[in-house]
Amino acid sequence: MTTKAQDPKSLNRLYNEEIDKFEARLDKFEAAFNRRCEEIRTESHLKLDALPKSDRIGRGRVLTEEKKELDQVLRELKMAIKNSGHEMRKTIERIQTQIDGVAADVENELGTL
Amino acid sequence: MLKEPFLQFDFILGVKRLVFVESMGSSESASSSAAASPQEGAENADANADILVEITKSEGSAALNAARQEAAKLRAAGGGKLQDESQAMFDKLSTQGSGGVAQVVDPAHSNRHMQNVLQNAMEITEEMEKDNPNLNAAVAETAAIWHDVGRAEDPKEHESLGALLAHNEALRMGFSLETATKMFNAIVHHKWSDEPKTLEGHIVRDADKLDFLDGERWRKRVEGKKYDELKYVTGILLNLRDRLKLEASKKIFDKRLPAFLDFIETVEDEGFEPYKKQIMTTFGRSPK
Repeated sequence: MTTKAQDPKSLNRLYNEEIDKFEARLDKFEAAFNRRCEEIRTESHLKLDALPKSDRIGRGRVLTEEKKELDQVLRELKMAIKNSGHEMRKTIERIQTQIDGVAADVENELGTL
Repeated sequence: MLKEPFLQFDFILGVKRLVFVESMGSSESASSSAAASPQEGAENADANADILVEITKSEGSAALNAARQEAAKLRAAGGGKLQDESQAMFDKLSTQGSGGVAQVVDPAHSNRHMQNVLQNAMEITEEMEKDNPNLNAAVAETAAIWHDVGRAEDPKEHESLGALLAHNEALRMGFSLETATKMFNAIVHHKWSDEPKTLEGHIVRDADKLDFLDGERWRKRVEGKKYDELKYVTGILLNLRDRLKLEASKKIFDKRLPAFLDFIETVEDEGFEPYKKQIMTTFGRSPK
């Protein structure tokens, strides 16, 4: 009824594998993002430690720079999630089309019986 | 269930933001402020460096969680129709089931009816799957194909006979007793006056009854001058929507009714006229 390439179980496995890959990429993004956030935290504390406690303007500037860097890291994370999600959706839509094709074949075959 | 922790998360994030914005303001205008000592200002800056990181990490974590939830939804959507032995059963029984039904001579329960019921069952399951994770779509759809197979043997008792045939066939093919039992339960109570005991059973019953909206089947009855049968199906049609069990089925009924009425309007047959008038009046259309 279906060829091996169109076997529903194989398509289902491919579908799930694509989601597995996406989730693995999210884990990597998360680890990199958290590591970068901690680096920025450490850099800020080092800069603050280097300033006299009375230098409030200097300290405020360190925080402003830190915020800019963190915003940039967050933007990069969101962009990476978006791109990766887009890639996954494109692939699974292609697999879904094949799955729908298999379902249509079943219906056609039923119609000819 | 997910809403509350997320609300709580947003609340905490909001409070952290407020704390940060207020203390940033005091840091940047610190030279003119007499409220905080240099020591306090330094401690604030140290704390704010940490708060900034925590806020950013929280926002990153929220973005990641949203992406993971999307992945989980996609996995559930993809796995519902194509998983485990139920799908394999669908593949195997679908052709053989149609072979059984093909033997049936009754034109009202032809292959066309079987295909319509399958299509209806697929539409209902698609609508219901997201809110019913335990719904076994493959069982519902396979049962839709097999539901009338018992007619070949005994039309009057075809529900229980067909359920038994499907059950035994599933076992013979090596499927588990659990899957075979689900098949049995999905078919055995599909009679109009009966009450299914499982969700798959309700899907099959509603999918079967929705086929009363297939104009082609009405046309054949009119052409065959089967007025007694037309009287009977008209009676069912008039109360059909109320007697459908599932909201998803009622939605399909509402979607298809206008096209069905358009079709009925085109049917010209003297013997059918009283039923046509009754249908049109009941559903709020003036007969032409």
